[in-house]
Amino acid sequence: MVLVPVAYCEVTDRLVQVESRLSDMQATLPRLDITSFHEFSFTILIVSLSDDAPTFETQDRTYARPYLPDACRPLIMPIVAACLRVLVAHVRPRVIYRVTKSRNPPEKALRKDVLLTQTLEQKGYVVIETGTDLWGRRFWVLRRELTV
Amino acid sequence: MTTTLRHPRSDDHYVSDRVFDGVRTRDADTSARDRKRAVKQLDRLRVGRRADGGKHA
Repeated sequence: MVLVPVAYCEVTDRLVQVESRLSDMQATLPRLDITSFHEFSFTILIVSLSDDAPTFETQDRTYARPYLPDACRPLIMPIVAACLRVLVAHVRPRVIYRVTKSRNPPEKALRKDVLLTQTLEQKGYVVIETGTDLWGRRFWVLRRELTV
Repeated sequence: MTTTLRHPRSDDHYVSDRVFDGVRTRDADTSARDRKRAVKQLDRLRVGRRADGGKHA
């Protein structure tokens, strides 16, 4: 996991962080006959520092927007891509699974997913399968091909 | 390499729970850990900013 602080509000004493995770999954990708892989995901965490209000997280831009200053928003995906590079270099997973949050996303909404796929391709991974899961979410399975 | 775009069948799909809609609240223990880490991060950022002469303040 990599946590990057991106915004702090002095009024509410809240710190906003991007949390990127490469989770070790023991599950089956049936058609690929893969039973163990890593899944990459990221969330926006809003942590209250001054009281006992629980931390909450969201992957939904509508919910995250009020906590992210305008100047900060264009930096989120480059930060996520940088975190992905760090995680991949550290963990060196053989297979990585990624899935969209949105169901039936239009192509235009896949820009950030394209960025993350390209990031992995630059690190020596190739897409071995892509499709739509049972909930209508686009997914990608990538395998490490090159020694980099 | 050729990849195929395929459509789901109920018997052959992994369904991730790593992505979700809306907002998730963390439990008390995780929130306490989150807070501790966040305080450390903020302290480090403040120290860095002071060392930097407050140029980015």
